[in-house]
Formats: sequence, structure tokens, C-alpha cells
Amino acid sequence: MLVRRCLRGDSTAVRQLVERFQAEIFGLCVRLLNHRQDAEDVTQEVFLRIFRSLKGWDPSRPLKPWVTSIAVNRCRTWLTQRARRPELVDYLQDTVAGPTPDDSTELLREIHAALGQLRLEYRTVFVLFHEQGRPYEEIAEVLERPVGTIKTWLHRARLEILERLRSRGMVPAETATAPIEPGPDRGGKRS
Amino acid sequence: MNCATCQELLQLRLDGAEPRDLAEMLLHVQRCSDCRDMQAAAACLHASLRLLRPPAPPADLAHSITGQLLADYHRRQRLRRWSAVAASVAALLLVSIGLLRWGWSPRTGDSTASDRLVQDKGEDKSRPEQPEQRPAEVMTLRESVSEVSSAVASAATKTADAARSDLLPLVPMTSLPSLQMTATLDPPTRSLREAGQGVSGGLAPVADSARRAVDLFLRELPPMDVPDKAGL
Repeated sequence: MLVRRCLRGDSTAVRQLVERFQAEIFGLCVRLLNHRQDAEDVTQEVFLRIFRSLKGWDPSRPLKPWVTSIAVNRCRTWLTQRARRPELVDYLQDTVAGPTPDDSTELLREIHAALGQLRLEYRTVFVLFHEQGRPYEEIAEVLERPVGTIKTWLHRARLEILERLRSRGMVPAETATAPIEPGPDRGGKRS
Repeated sequence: MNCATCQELLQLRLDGAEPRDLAEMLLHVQRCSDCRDMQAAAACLHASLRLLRPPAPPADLAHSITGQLLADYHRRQRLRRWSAVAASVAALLLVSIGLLRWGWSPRTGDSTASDRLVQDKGEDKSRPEQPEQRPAEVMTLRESVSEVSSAVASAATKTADAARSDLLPLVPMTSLPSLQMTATLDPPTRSLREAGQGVSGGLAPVADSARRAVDLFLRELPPMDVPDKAGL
């Protein structure tokens, strides 16, 4: 219904569509591009593509993975084009969202830095799973890969981040024997 | 339990699942320093993941994107209207060119006028005569061009008049100049160049009509509403 109204040029419907997905798309773009201004530009491009391709969207498929897929592809293209540009870009300039206690700020900064070093596929899966709380099946649909591949990519992403935390001395000695407490139940995330 | 299995279980816990071999894993961690370090790092990561929040978009981003989308939508609508106008004009021209190609004659309505053109050394005697066809006549090139010119001129006049009558209801105050065509042509003694000029002259009213049609549509297009940013 929202899509049909958007195709008719209903300004309220267009606004609703944007507000529904802009946070996730922008957040994903920031993490993948490591540049806030680039993320704003790419987010606008993503919505433009979504709007122009809306006629071709299959209503039997959920809208969210389709929209996310466009965002991921656009970020990939942007990164390829950016790699060809000679000008220096100020990466890693985004700030941690929300108030954080003590050493957590530093830890989060290290995690973000480690994320920026990951391969695009690993980074994408990590952000979609841990930051946006998407289940494996939805991530597999977004990236058009098998669920097994998604799990492998996520595990490798974690290992690289863990290795970086260890090498940077971010692991306090007193936590060396502390067990990992079970995480919050995220529904469909369980493998 | 080995290190590979232990690390798989660590991954499972980061997924939010509870492994069945948890006790065995903890025993292995106590004995293996590498896995112990890995578990410590995983604990840090797990604690940080709870604090991980997606970056908030700028406050005016939704407003900016919405305005851009609506502007793009209206631009594409205008482009669609222009395409329709261009298609109509192109169809008009194609009809005229088609009539020229088929050698339509206004005098007899006979579409086989060009068929009557027989080259001096290419006459096909094997073709059986159709009962209603005139016998093949040998015409000079000048006569043939002259006949085609008059056919085109007549067709162009009719086409232009038809276009004008279609457009007239849309523009009640506009008075279109009447298309005066000199249908009379010189006798076949005219040179080939003059005959060609005659053909071009016959097509000129069609082009004029097409230009007027475009102008009328331009005038008839309503002003585009710029989206009101305050109202969004």
C-alpha cells in the first residue's frame, strides 16, 4: 500500500518510506564507508535508486532486505570509485553514538577501527548482525549468499576483531578467565 | 575438546546461543592459554557489542531526501509528457515520408503510381498484368519526379490541415495561418533540381505544422508545482 502511494507521487507516503528506512541505511553506510559525509551522499543516492526501482520490486518479497541490498551494492560501488580518487579522505571520523562509560569508549573506538580494516563482506555481515540485529537468513537474502557463507564471514570478522583487541592490549588481565555470559535473545539469530 | 571446537563454541556464544558443551569448553580454557586469551577477548567484544549503536542520521536528512525524491518524480513526469509530444510529431513525419515512399497520388488515389515507373533497361516482362492495372508506360525521369512532387505536396497539405484541425480546439484564441500551397507544378520540362526543390517545398508545411504542435503543447503545459518544504 505504501509502495503504491509512493508510485503515485504521494508526498506523505514518500516521507513515510524515507523515515522508515533512513536510520538503518544511513547507519550501514557510515559503517561501510567510514565517512559520515559520504554516508549522507550515498544514503540519498540509495533512496533515489529505491524510488526509481520501486515499480520493479516484487511485492511477494519483503521490502527491507531489498532496500538493504541496494544500499550494500551502492556502498560497494562508492568504495570502488573512492579507491580510484587520489584525494585524501578523512576516514574514521564518525563518533560513537550515545553516552558510554569509562573504558568502553576506548574499546568501542578500537572496535570501530578494527571494523574499518575488515573486508567489505565481513564488515557488512558484522554490522547487519551485531549493530542492526538482523538474523542470518535475512542477511543471506540481502547479500544473496548461503547462510553458511554468512556465518563463516561473521566468524572471521569476529576473529580478526578479537585478534586486534588482543594485539592492542585491550583485553584486561582480570577478564582473562571470565566466562562469556549468554547474550540477549535475538530471536531468529540463533543458528 | 580441541582448540578448534572451543573457538566454535565461543562463536556460538557470541551469536547469543547456549552451547551444550559449555562445561567442557570451560575446562579446556583453563588448560589452554591461547583459548583462554581468545575467551577473554571474546568477553570484551561481547560486552562492547551491547553498547554498539548505529550512528544517528542528521535531523534534516529525511526532509532533504523526500524533497529530492519528489522533485525527481515530477521531472520524470514532465519527461514522459515531452516524449508523448515527440512521438506524435515523429508519427506525423513518418506518415508524410511513408506517403512519399509509396508514391500516393492525389488525383486517382492509386497507390501504385510508383509501380508505373519502369526503367529503360529493367522492364520486367515476366510479371503478369493485373486486370485493373494500367499497361506499363515508359515515363521519363522528369515526368516521374514531377508526379511524385505533386503527390507529396498534396499529402503534406492534407496532413497539415488535419493537424491544425486537431489542435484548434486546444487553442481557441490562436489563429493559425492558413497553409497556402501552390499545387500547380511546372510541366515536366523542369530540371531535376527544381523538381527536388518542389518535393522539399511540399514537406515544408509538414515541418511547420509539427513546430506549431510543439509550441502549442509547450504553452498548454501547466506550471510545475515546486514541493513546499514547510508542508513536508
